[in-house]
Amino acid sequence: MYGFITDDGVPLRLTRYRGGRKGPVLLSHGLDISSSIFSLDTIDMNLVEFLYAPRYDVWLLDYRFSIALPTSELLASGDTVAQYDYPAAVSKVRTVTGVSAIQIIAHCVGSITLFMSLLASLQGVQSSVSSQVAAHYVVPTLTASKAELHLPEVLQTLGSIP
Amino acid sequence: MPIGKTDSPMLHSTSIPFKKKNGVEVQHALVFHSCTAFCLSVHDQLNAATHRTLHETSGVANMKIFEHLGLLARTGYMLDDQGHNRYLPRIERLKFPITFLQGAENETFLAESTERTFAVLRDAHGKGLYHRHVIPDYGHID
Repeated sequence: MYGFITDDGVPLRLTRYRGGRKGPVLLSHGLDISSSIFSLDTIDMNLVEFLYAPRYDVWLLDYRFSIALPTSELLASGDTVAQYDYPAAVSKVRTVTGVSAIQIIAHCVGSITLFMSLLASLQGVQSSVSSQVAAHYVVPTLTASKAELHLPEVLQTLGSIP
Repeated sequence: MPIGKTDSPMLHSTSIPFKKKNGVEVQHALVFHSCTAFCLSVHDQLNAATHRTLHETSGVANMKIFEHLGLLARTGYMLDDQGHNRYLPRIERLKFPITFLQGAENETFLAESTERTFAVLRDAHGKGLYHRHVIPDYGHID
């Protein structure tokens, strides 16, 4: 397990499963979960096991939205993860492994923020797998209605009323 | 930056218990994530053990990311949290191999979401670098 600090001072975590010399693969989770989503023991083969068996060097990232970290309670948008978390995480993996570029598998908000980071200037990524969403957003009618209602802003306002 | 308990507004997760169908527990349930602000996820493909432990694998999220996601849902493409289009104009930075995985039954982000990004990248950089796989009968995270 490797701890690291982002440039804005937030402590985050990487967990390594060193399957072999096939190169580092960083797994990035979505929102309101943690990296444990990739190492579930309730299914026959989870993603860590799937990559470990053919000798990939698997790295689980817990970025600031991870519920395994107290940082999940910090207010932050996707821009913050893109600006601080991915550069620090990729740098840490590259430093420890000595490789110039890594591969990343990212899910949902992990994928959205990865794309933001890549488009903003993230270096050291040679390929990626993007699960479910990336840079464009088409949502169901119900979700669109909630978005039009600015529900998060409404809830935040209600929550701030003494 | 101090880390610990804050007064940040949070949304919490609550799982709805399994339903019984003819006395048999079925692997189909609506689960309210902390993303209830935006979505309902149907987990048809989750096995019983995984569903029973969803409360261990899901938790809280901060409101600022929900505000950002709401903005993205309203506009349909990537913007920063202030509504500025500062990411996609740099699409040349995505000129490397990218594969998209998409559950055909995703009810959080519809399959057209990755289809659009996939099309934009292929139009910009050619077809060789990008692949997209749509998986039938699977949703967002099952």
